Amino acid sequence: MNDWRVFLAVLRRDLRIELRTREAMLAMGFYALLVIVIFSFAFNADAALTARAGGGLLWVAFLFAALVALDRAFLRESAEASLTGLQTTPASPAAIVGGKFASSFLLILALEAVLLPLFAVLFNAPPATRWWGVIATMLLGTWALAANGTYFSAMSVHARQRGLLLPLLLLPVSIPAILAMVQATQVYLSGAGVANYWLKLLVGYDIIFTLLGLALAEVVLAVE
Amino acid sequence: MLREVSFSAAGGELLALRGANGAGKTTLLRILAGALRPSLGEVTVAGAPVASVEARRITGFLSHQSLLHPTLTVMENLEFFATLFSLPRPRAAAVQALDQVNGGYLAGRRVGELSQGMKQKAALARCLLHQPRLLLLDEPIASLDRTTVAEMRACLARLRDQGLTLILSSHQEEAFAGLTDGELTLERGRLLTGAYTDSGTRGGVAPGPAPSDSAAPAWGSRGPQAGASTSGTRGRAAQGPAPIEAMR
Repeated sequence: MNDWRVFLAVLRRDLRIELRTREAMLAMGFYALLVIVIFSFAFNADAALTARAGGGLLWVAFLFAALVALDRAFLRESAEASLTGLQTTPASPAAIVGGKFASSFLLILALEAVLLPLFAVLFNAPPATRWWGVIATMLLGTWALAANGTYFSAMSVHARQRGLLLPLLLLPVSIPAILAMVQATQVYLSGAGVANYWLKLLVGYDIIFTLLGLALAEVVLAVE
Repeated sequence: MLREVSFSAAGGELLALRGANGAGKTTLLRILAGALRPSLGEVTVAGAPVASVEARRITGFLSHQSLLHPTLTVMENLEFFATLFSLPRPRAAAVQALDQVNGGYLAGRRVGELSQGMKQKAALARCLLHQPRLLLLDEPIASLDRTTVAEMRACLARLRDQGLTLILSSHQEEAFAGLTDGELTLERGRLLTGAYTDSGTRGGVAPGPAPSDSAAPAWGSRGPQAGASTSGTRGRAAQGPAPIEAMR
Protein backbone atom coordinates (compact mmCIF):
# COMPACT_ATOMS: atom_id res chain seq x y z
CA MET A 1 0.00 0.00 0.00
CA ASN A 2 2.73 2.41 0.97
CA ASP A 3 4.71 1.46 -2.10
CA TRP A 4 1.72 2.37 -4.27
CA ARG A 5 1.44 5.73 -2.53
CA VAL A 6 5.13 6.38 -3.13
CA PHE A 7 4.83 5.22 -6.75
CA LEU A 8 1.91 7.57 -7.38
CA ALA A 9 3.58 10.44 -5.52
CA VAL A 10 6.74 10.15 -7.65
CA LEU A 11 4.69 9.85 -10.84
CA ARG A 12 2.54 12.87 -9.98
CA ARG A 13 5.54 14.93 -8.96
CA ASP A 14 7.54 14.17 -12.11
CA LEU A 15 4.60 14.95 -14.37
CA ARG A 16 3.92 18.16 -12.47
CA ILE A 17 7.55 19.24 -12.86
CA GLU A 18 7.45 18.42 -16.55
CA LEU A 19 4.20 20.31 -17.08
CA ARG A 20 5.74 23.36 -15.43
CA THR A 21 9.12 23.29 -17.12
CA ARG A 22 8.21 21.48 -20.38
CA GLU A 23 11.92 20.77 -20.73
CA ALA A 24 11.70 17.18 -21.90
CA MET A 25 8.54 17.62 -23.96
CA LEU A 26 9.91 20.55 -25.93
CA ALA A 27 13.29 18.95 -26.56
CA MET A 28 11.94 15.54 -27.54
CA GLY A 29 9.03 16.98 -29.52
CA PHE A 30 11.28 19.25 -31.53
CA TYR A 31 13.75 16.47 -32.21
CA ALA A 32 11.17 13.88 -33.25
CA LEU A 33 9.32 16.38 -35.42
CA LEU A 34 12.54 17.32 -37.17
CA VAL A 35 13.40 13.70 -37.92
CA ILE A 36 9.95 12.91 -39.34
CA VAL A 37 9.78 16.04 -41.47
CA ILE A 38 13.32 15.63 -42.83
CA PHE A 39 12.70 11.96 -43.63
CA SER A 40 9.48 12.87 -45.41
CA PHE A 41 11.39 15.42 -47.53
CA ALA A 42 14.26 13.05 -48.20
CA PHE A 43 12.26 10.01 -49.21
CA ASN A 44 9.37 11.70 -50.96
CA ALA A 45 7.36 9.09 -49.15
CA ASP A 46 4.52 7.24 -50.76
CA ALA A 47 2.46 4.34 -49.53
CA ALA A 48 4.80 1.75 -51.06
CA LEU A 49 7.87 3.17 -49.33
CA THR A 50 6.04 3.47 -46.02
CA ALA A 51 4.94 -0.15 -46.31
CA ARG A 52 8.58 -1.15 -46.91
CA ALA A 53 10.49 1.10 -44.51
CA GLY A 54 8.01 3.08 -42.43
CA GLY A 55 8.61 1.04 -39.28
CA GLY A 56 12.28 1.91 -39.21
CA LEU A 57 11.70 5.59 -39.96
CA LEU A 58 9.06 5.89 -37.28
CA TRP A 59 11.15 4.24 -34.60
CA VAL A 60 14.23 6.33 -35.37
CA ALA A 61 12.17 9.39 -34.43
CA PHE A 62 10.60 7.73 -31.37
CA LEU A 63 13.84 6.21 -30.14
CA PHE A 64 15.85 9.41 -30.12
CA ALA A 65 12.98 11.35 -28.62
CA ALA A 66 12.80 8.71 -25.89
CA LEU A 67 16.51 9.13 -25.19
CA VAL A 68 15.91 12.81 -24.49
CA ALA A 69 13.06 12.05 -22.07
CA LEU A 70 14.96 9.29 -20.31
CA ASP A 71 18.06 11.42 -19.92
CA ARG A 72 15.95 13.94 -18.01
CA ALA A 73 14.28 11.36 -15.78
CA PHE A 74 17.03 11.53 -13.17
CA LEU A 75 18.75 14.66 -14.39
CA ARG A 76 15.89 16.69 -12.97
CA GLU A 77 16.88 15.35 -9.55
CA SER A 78 20.27 17.02 -9.72
CA ALA A 79 18.75 20.42 -8.97
CA GLU A 80 19.26 21.20 -5.27
CA ALA A 81 20.53 17.61 -4.92
CA SER A 82 16.98 16.36 -4.65
CA LEU A 83 18.15 12.84 -5.49
CA THR A 84 19.92 12.77 -2.12
CA GLY A 85 16.58 13.71 -0.57
CA LEU A 86 15.01 10.66 -2.19
CA GLN A 87 17.88 8.42 -1.11
CA THR A 88 17.57 9.35 2.54
CA THR A 89 13.89 8.49 2.88
CA PRO A 90 12.62 5.06 3.93
CA ALA A 91 10.60 4.77 0.71
CA SER A 92 11.06 1.65 -1.35
CA PRO A 93 13.63 2.24 -4.13
CA ALA A 94 11.52 0.06 -6.42
CA ALA A 95 8.54 2.37 -5.90
CA ILE A 96 10.67 5.44 -6.62
CA VAL A 97 12.21 3.94 -9.77
CA GLY A 98 8.77 2.61 -10.74
CA GLY A 99 7.28 6.10 -10.49
CA LYS A 100 10.11 7.49 -12.59
CA PHE A 101 9.56 4.78 -15.18
CA ALA A 102 5.84 5.49 -15.32
CA SER A 103 6.33 9.22 -15.82
CA SER A 104 8.86 8.66 -18.61
CA PHE A 105 6.58 6.08 -20.22
CA LEU A 106 3.62 8.46 -20.22
CA LEU A 107 5.66 11.39 -21.53
CA ILE A 108 7.07 9.38 -24.44
CA LEU A 109 3.66 7.91 -25.16
CA ALA A 110 2.05 11.35 -25.21
CA LEU A 111 4.59 12.51 -27.77
CA GLU A 112 4.08 9.41 -29.88
CA ALA A 113 0.33 9.92 -29.80
CA VAL A 114 0.84 13.35 -31.35
CA LEU A 115 3.46 12.26 -33.87
CA LEU A 116 1.78 9.13 -35.17
CA PRO A 117 -1.04 10.95 -37.03
CA LEU A 118 1.53 13.37 -38.43
CA PHE A 119 3.61 10.43 -39.62
CA ALA A 120 0.53 8.87 -41.24
CA VAL A 121 -0.13 12.08 -43.16
CA LEU A 122 3.43 12.92 -44.19
CA PHE A 123 4.29 9.36 -45.17
CA ASN A 124 1.00 8.53 -46.90
CA ALA A 125 0.36 5.53 -44.72
CA PRO A 126 -1.05 2.62 -46.76
CA PRO A 127 -4.82 2.15 -46.48
CA ALA A 128 -4.24 -1.43 -45.40
CA THR A 129 -2.40 -0.30 -42.29
CA ARG A 130 -3.62 -2.05 -39.17
CA TRP A 131 -3.47 0.80 -36.72
CA TRP A 132 -4.39 -1.27 -33.69
CA GLY A 133 -1.24 -3.31 -34.32
CA VAL A 134 0.91 -0.21 -34.70
CA ILE A 135 -0.50 1.21 -31.46
CA ALA A 136 0.01 -2.08 -29.60
CA THR A 137 3.61 -2.18 -30.81
CA MET A 138 4.04 1.43 -29.78
CA LEU A 139 2.82 0.67 -26.26
CA LEU A 140 4.99 -2.40 -25.80
CA GLY A 141 8.04 -0.85 -27.44
CA THR A 142 7.81 2.34 -25.44
CA TRP A 143 7.44 0.26 -22.27
CA ALA A 144 10.67 -1.56 -23.13
CA LEU A 145 12.58 1.66 -23.77
CA ALA A 146 11.23 3.35 -20.64
CA ALA A 147 11.96 0.34 -18.40
CA ASN A 148 15.57 0.02 -19.51
CA GLY A 149 16.08 3.72 -19.96
CA THR A 150 14.96 4.65 -16.46
CA TYR A 151 17.34 2.12 -15.01
CA PHE A 152 20.31 3.33 -17.05
CA SER A 153 19.36 6.95 -16.51
CA ALA A 154 19.70 6.42 -12.77
CA MET A 155 23.04 4.70 -13.26
CA SER A 156 24.50 7.39 -15.48
CA VAL A 157 23.14 10.50 -13.77
CA HIS A 158 26.40 11.22 -11.91
CA ALA A 159 28.65 10.48 -14.89
CA ARG A 160 30.43 13.35 -16.61
CA GLN A 161 29.65 11.96 -20.06
CA ARG A 162 26.07 11.25 -19.11
CA GLY A 163 24.66 12.22 -22.49
CA LEU A 164 26.95 9.72 -24.19
CA LEU A 165 26.75 7.01 -21.55
CA LEU A 166 22.98 6.62 -21.59
CA PRO A 167 22.66 5.63 -25.27
CA LEU A 168 25.83 3.54 -25.00
CA LEU A 169 24.29 1.53 -22.19
CA LEU A 170 20.70 1.53 -23.36
CA LEU A 171 20.87 0.81 -27.07
CA PRO A 172 22.87 -2.46 -27.04
CA VAL A 173 20.63 -3.92 -24.33
CA SER A 174 17.55 -2.77 -26.26
CA ILE A 175 18.52 -4.34 -29.58
CA PRO A 176 16.09 -7.30 -29.27
CA ALA A 177 13.27 -4.90 -28.39
CA ILE A 178 14.18 -2.47 -31.18
CA LEU A 179 14.24 -5.32 -33.68
CA ALA A 180 10.81 -6.47 -32.53
CA MET A 181 9.36 -2.94 -32.58
CA VAL A 182 10.57 -2.21 -36.09
CA GLN A 183 9.53 -5.59 -37.49
CA ALA A 184 6.10 -5.56 -35.88
CA THR A 185 5.41 -1.98 -36.97
CA GLN A 186 6.49 -2.88 -40.48
CA VAL A 187 4.12 -5.84 -40.60
CA TYR A 188 1.17 -3.71 -39.45
CA LEU A 189 2.01 -0.74 -41.70
CA SER A 190 2.10 -3.01 -44.76
CA GLY A 191 -1.06 -4.80 -43.70
CA ALA A 192 0.81 -8.04 -44.30
CA GLY A 193 -0.68 -9.93 -41.42
CA VAL A 194 -0.31 -10.16 -37.67
CA ALA A 195 3.07 -9.85 -35.98
CA ASN A 196 2.34 -12.22 -33.12
CA TYR A 197 5.89 -13.46 -32.87
CA TRP A 198 7.34 -9.98 -32.51
CA LEU A 199 4.65 -8.85 -30.08
CA LYS A 200 5.25 -11.90 -27.90
CA LEU A 201 8.96 -11.16 -27.95
CA LEU A 202 8.22 -7.60 -26.80
CA VAL A 203 5.90 -8.78 -24.02
CA GLY A 204 8.56 -11.19 -22.75
CA TYR A 205 11.24 -8.53 -22.99
CA ASP A 206 9.07 -6.03 -21.10
CA ILE A 207 8.32 -8.46 -18.28
CA ILE A 208 11.94 -9.52 -17.82
CA PHE A 209 13.45 -6.06 -17.90
CA THR A 210 10.74 -4.44 -15.79
CA LEU A 211 11.23 -7.02 -13.04
CA LEU A 212 15.00 -6.78 -13.35
CA GLY A 213 14.88 -2.99 -13.08
CA LEU A 214 12.69 -3.10 -9.99
CA ALA A 215 14.85 -5.77 -8.36
CA LEU A 216 17.99 -3.72 -8.93
CA ALA A 217 16.39 -0.37 -8.05
CA GLU A 218 18.13 -0.14 -4.69
CA VAL A 219 21.51 -0.65 -6.32
CA VAL A 220 21.03 1.95 -9.05
CA LEU A 221 19.66 4.56 -6.68
CA ALA A 222 22.77 4.15 -4.52
CA VAL A 223 25.19 4.65 -7.43
CA GLU A 224 27.41 7.66 -6.81
CA MET B 1 37.83 7.51 2.52
CA LEU B 2 36.99 6.92 6.14
CA ARG B 3 39.01 4.55 8.32
CA GLU B 4 38.62 3.45 11.90
CA VAL B 5 35.91 5.96 12.68
CA SER B 6 34.12 4.76 15.77
CA PHE B 7 31.97 6.78 18.10
CA SER B 8 28.60 6.91 19.77
CA ALA B 9 26.23 9.74 20.57
CA ALA B 10 23.36 9.88 23.00
CA GLY B 11 19.99 11.57 22.81
CA GLY B 12 19.92 15.30 23.47
CA GLU B 13 23.50 15.95 22.42
CA LEU B 14 24.90 18.25 19.79
CA LEU B 15 28.20 16.99 18.46
CA ALA B 16 30.34 19.15 16.21
CA LEU B 17 32.21 17.45 13.43
CA ARG B 18 35.52 19.18 12.77
CA GLY B 19 38.14 18.79 10.11
CA ALA B 20 39.70 20.41 7.09
CA ASN B 21 38.21 20.18 3.64
CA GLY B 22 38.44 16.61 2.43
CA ALA B 23 38.75 15.17 5.92
CA GLY B 24 35.64 13.09 5.41
CA LYS B 25 32.98 15.04 7.30
CA THR B 26 30.43 15.08 4.49
CA THR B 27 31.15 11.43 3.68
CA LEU B 28 30.54 10.48 7.30
CA LEU B 29 27.30 12.45 7.47
CA ARG B 30 26.08 11.02 4.17
CA ILE B 31 26.78 7.52 5.41
CA LEU B 32 24.88 8.24 8.60
CA ALA B 33 21.99 9.65 6.54
CA GLY B 34 21.87 6.56 4.36
CA ALA B 35 22.82 8.42 1.19
CA LEU B 36 26.13 6.55 0.95
CA ARG B 37 26.95 2.99 1.80
CA PRO B 38 30.07 2.17 3.78
CA SER B 39 32.21 -0.42 2.03
CA LEU B 40 33.14 -1.94 5.38
CA GLY B 41 32.10 -1.58 8.98
CA GLU B 42 28.87 -1.08 10.78
CA VAL B 43 26.77 1.99 11.49
CA THR B 44 23.67 1.76 13.59
CA VAL B 45 21.08 4.31 14.58
CA ALA B 46 19.06 3.37 17.64
CA GLY B 47 20.25 -0.18 17.16
CA ALA B 48 19.15 -0.46 13.53
CA PRO B 49 21.59 -0.61 10.59
CA VAL B 50 21.83 2.82 9.04
CA ALA B 51 20.51 1.67 5.66
CA SER B 52 17.42 0.12 7.21
CA VAL B 53 13.95 1.59 6.94
CA GLU B 54 13.82 1.86 10.75
CA ALA B 55 16.96 4.01 10.87
CA ARG B 56 15.81 6.25 8.04
CA ARG B 57 12.50 6.85 9.74
CA ILE B 58 14.24 8.51 12.67
CA THR B 59 16.99 10.36 10.83
CA GLY B 60 16.87 13.78 9.25
CA PHE B 61 19.55 15.20 6.96
CA LEU B 62 20.06 18.90 6.39
CA SER B 63 22.64 19.92 3.83
CA HIS B 64 23.69 23.29 2.43
CA GLN B 65 21.46 22.33 -0.49
CA SER B 66 17.77 22.10 0.29
CA LEU B 67 17.21 18.67 -1.36
CA LEU B 68 13.86 20.13 -2.48
CA HIS B 69 12.91 20.45 -6.11
CA PRO B 70 13.13 24.10 -7.19
CA THR B 71 10.20 23.91 -9.62
CA LEU B 72 7.73 22.86 -6.95
CA THR B 73 6.36 24.92 -4.11
CA VAL B 74 7.54 24.34 -0.58
CA MET B 75 4.19 22.74 0.31
CA GLU B 76 4.30 20.42 -2.72
CA ASN B 77 7.81 19.37 -1.80
CA LEU B 78 6.95 18.76 1.84
CA GLU B 79 3.80 16.80 0.99
CA PHE B 80 5.85 14.68 -1.37
CA PHE B 81 8.45 13.90 1.27
CA ALA B 82 5.75 13.25 3.86
CA THR B 83 4.34 10.61 1.51
CA LEU B 84 7.79 9.09 1.09
CA PHE B 85 8.02 8.86 4.87
CA SER B 86 4.61 7.12 4.88
CA LEU B 87 3.05 9.79 7.07
CA PRO B 88 -0.71 9.29 7.21
CA ARG B 89 -1.69 12.92 6.53
CA PRO B 90 1.01 14.48 4.37
CA ARG B 91 -0.52 17.95 4.18
CA ALA B 92 -1.10 18.19 7.91
CA ALA B 93 2.46 17.01 8.55
CA ALA B 94 3.78 19.60 6.10
CA VAL B 95 1.80 22.41 7.71
CA GLN B 96 2.99 21.33 11.14
CA ALA B 97 6.63 21.16 10.05
CA LEU B 98 6.43 24.62 8.50
CA ASP B 99 4.89 25.96 11.69
CA GLN B 100 7.77 24.53 13.65
CA VAL B 101 10.23 26.69 11.75
CA ASN B 102 7.85 29.64 11.53
CA GLY B 103 7.82 29.15 7.79
CA GLY B 104 4.10 29.03 7.08
CA TYR B 105 4.43 31.97 4.72
CA LEU B 106 6.70 29.89 2.47
CA ALA B 107 4.11 27.21 1.74
CA GLY B 108 2.92 28.48 -1.64
CA ARG B 109 6.26 29.74 -2.90
CA ARG B 110 8.43 27.85 -5.32
CA VAL B 111 11.73 26.71 -3.87
CA GLY B 112 13.66 28.09 -6.83
CA GLU B 113 12.43 31.60 -6.03
CA LEU B 114 13.49 31.56 -2.39
CA SER B 115 16.54 33.17 -0.83
CA GLN B 116 19.18 30.85 0.62
CA GLY B 117 17.92 31.50 4.15
CA MET B 118 14.33 30.72 3.18
CA LYS B 119 15.47 27.56 1.42
CA GLN B 120 17.24 26.40 4.56
CA LYS B 121 14.11 27.09 6.56
CA ALA B 122 12.10 24.97 4.13
CA ALA B 123 14.81 22.31 4.19
CA LEU B 124 14.71 22.22 7.97
CA ALA B 125 10.95 21.78 7.81
CA ARG B 126 11.56 18.82 5.48
CA CYS B 127 13.94 17.33 8.06
CA LEU B 128 11.39 17.72 10.85
CA LEU B 129 8.42 16.29 8.90
CA HIS B 130 8.80 12.82 10.33
CA GLN B 131 9.88 13.91 13.81
CA PRO B 132 13.37 12.46 13.67
CA ARG B 133 15.47 11.53 16.69
CA LEU B 134 18.76 12.14 14.93
CA LEU B 135 19.43 15.26 12.88
CA LEU B 136 22.52 15.44 10.68
CA LEU B 137 23.61 18.87 9.53
CA ASP B 138 26.19 19.30 6.80
CA GLU B 139 27.25 22.94 6.53
CA PRO B 140 23.75 24.14 7.37
CA ILE B 141 24.72 27.81 7.57
CA ALA B 142 26.94 28.10 4.52
CA SER B 143 25.99 31.27 2.60
CA LEU B 144 23.51 32.43 5.24
CA ASP B 145 23.47 35.94 6.67
CA ARG B 146 24.09 36.60 10.36
CA THR B 147 20.43 36.95 11.27
CA THR B 148 19.55 33.65 9.69
CA VAL B 149 22.56 32.01 11.34
CA ALA B 150 21.30 33.23 14.71
CA GLU B 151 17.86 31.82 13.97
CA MET B 152 19.37 28.51 12.96
CA ARG B 153 21.46 28.41 16.12
CA ALA B 154 18.41 29.06 18.29
CA CYS B 155 16.48 26.42 16.43
CA LEU B 156 19.16 23.80 16.91
CA ALA B 157 19.34 24.61 20.61
CA ARG B 158 15.61 24.04 20.93
CA LEU B 159 15.75 20.78 19.05
CA ARG B 160 18.56 19.59 21.26
CA ASP B 161 16.60 20.61 24.34
CA GLN B 162 13.74 18.49 23.09
CA GLY B 163 16.01 15.46 23.08
CA LEU B 164 17.16 15.21 19.49
CA THR B 165 20.69 14.11 18.81
CA LEU B 166 22.41 16.51 16.44
CA ILE B 167 25.66 16.04 14.56
CA LEU B 168 26.85 19.18 12.89
CA SER B 169 29.58 19.92 10.43
CA SER B 170 30.39 23.58 9.84
CA HIS B 171 33.42 25.63 8.96
CA GLN B 172 31.87 28.55 10.84
CA GLU B 173 32.67 27.09 14.25
CA GLU B 174 32.19 30.39 16.06
CA ALA B 175 28.50 30.41 15.10
CA PHE B 176 27.87 27.43 17.34
CA ALA B 177 30.29 28.32 20.13
CA GLY B 178 28.95 27.30 23.51
CA LEU B 179 26.20 25.20 21.99
CA THR B 180 28.00 21.96 21.30
CA ASP B 181 28.38 19.19 23.83
CA GLY B 182 31.37 17.59 22.21
CA GLU B 183 33.34 17.41 19.07
CA LEU B 184 34.68 14.83 16.72
CA THR B 185 37.74 15.75 14.71
CA LEU B 186 38.47 14.03 11.45
CA GLU B 187 41.75 14.14 9.61
CA ARG B 188 42.14 12.43 6.27
CA GLY B 189 39.33 10.07 7.09
CA ARG B 190 40.48 9.13 10.57
CA LEU B 191 38.89 10.17 13.81
CA LEU B 192 41.46 12.08 15.86
CA THR B 193 39.49 13.16 18.90
CA GLY B 194 36.12 12.63 20.36
CA ALA B 195 36.25 14.86 23.40
CA TYR B 196 33.39 16.56 25.15
CA THR B 197 33.62 20.26 25.65
CA ASP B 198 31.93 20.56 29.02
CA SER B 199 30.79 23.94 27.97
CA GLY B 200 27.99 24.04 30.50
CA THR B 201 25.75 25.95 28.17
CA ARG B 202 23.10 23.36 27.80
CA GLY B 203 19.55 24.06 28.58
CA GLY B 204 17.61 26.86 27.05
CA VAL B 205 18.58 28.74 23.99
CA ALA B 206 22.06 29.99 24.29
CA PRO B 207 22.53 33.45 22.89
CA GLY B 208 24.25 33.31 19.57
CA PRO B 209 26.52 35.75 17.82
CA ALA B 210 23.55 37.52 16.36
CA PRO B 211 23.70 41.12 15.33
CA SER B 212 21.91 43.50 17.62
CA ASP B 213 19.27 44.23 15.01
CA SER B 214 18.19 40.64 14.79
CA ALA B 215 14.73 39.97 15.97
CA ALA B 216 13.91 37.25 18.39
CA PRO B 217 14.88 33.97 16.80
CA ALA B 218 12.05 32.96 14.57
CA TRP B 219 13.11 29.42 13.97
CA GLY B 220 12.59 26.66 16.35
CA SER B 221 10.48 23.79 17.24
CA ARG B 222 7.38 24.32 19.20
CA GLY B 223 5.50 21.81 21.10
CA PRO B 224 6.49 18.33 22.05
CA GLN B 225 5.81 16.90 18.62
CA ALA B 226 8.75 18.65 17.08
CA GLY B 227 11.44 17.13 19.14
CA ALA B 228 12.70 13.66 19.35
CA SER B 229 10.95 10.85 20.96
CA THR B 230 14.17 9.99 22.68
CA SER B 231 13.20 9.23 26.18
CA GLY B 232 16.50 9.90 27.85
CA THR B 233 17.27 13.11 29.54
CA ARG B 234 20.06 15.16 28.15
CA GLY B 235 23.60 15.16 29.30
CA ARG B 236 26.22 12.55 29.68
CA ALA B 237 25.38 11.93 33.28
CA ALA B 238 21.94 10.69 32.36
CA GLN B 239 22.03 9.58 28.80
CA GLY B 240 19.09 8.31 26.86
CA PRO B 241 19.34 5.49 24.40
CA ALA B 242 22.28 6.03 22.09
CA PRO B 243 20.93 6.89 18.68
CA ILE B 244 24.22 6.41 16.87
CA GLU B 245 26.18 3.49 17.99
CA ALA B 246 29.31 2.76 16.13
CA MET B 247 31.20 2.76 12.94
CA ARG B 248 34.43 1.04 12.17
